[in-house]
Amino acid sequence: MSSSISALTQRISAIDEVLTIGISASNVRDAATQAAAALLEELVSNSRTVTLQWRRDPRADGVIIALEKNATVGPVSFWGAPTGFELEGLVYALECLGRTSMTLDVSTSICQLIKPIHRTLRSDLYVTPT
Amino acid sequence: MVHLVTALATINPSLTFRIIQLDAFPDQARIAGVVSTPALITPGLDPKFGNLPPAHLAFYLWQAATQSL
Repeated sequence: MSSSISALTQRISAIDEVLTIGISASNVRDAATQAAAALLEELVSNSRTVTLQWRRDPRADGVIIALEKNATVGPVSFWGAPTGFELEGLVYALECLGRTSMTLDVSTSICQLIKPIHRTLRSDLYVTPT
Repeated sequence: MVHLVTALATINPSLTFRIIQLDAFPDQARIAGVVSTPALITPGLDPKFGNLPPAHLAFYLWQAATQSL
């Protein structure tokens, strides 16, 4: 696990855009919240551009992680402490938000279907810790 | 699925996704009708369970975005 954390830390350190990982929690002393915080702090430890920001939110029923660029919240947020594959998913979401020349692995026909959508559509993707 | 929805949201940020850990939000999941994971819940459409092929997911979202217009 430590080597994979190391690899994820390297990927985050390669992001040139200034990004913020906003962590909201009702109880920042909660064990799960503390564990998530320790993990995320390690992930951004070598980055010059990606920082963590804590927000105490009494309405947050758990850990909620928003990824932000230029004070604008990105389209993907994480509810619950991301572990296993979802942690890698969070790093990928950061890379996408801070991308400069990153190529997305999506076909042209899918881009043509998705790009013209103007309506805001919020979906929830439930996942199980892996 | 997380990577796929992230890629689609990067192409079009009008599509937003909350990646929700089932164990952290069990009540919310139950209310949403989640019976297995991954589960994609989009307003106005039936839930989708399991990993969807990219084209299937893209069409599903396109359908959700256009059906009530």
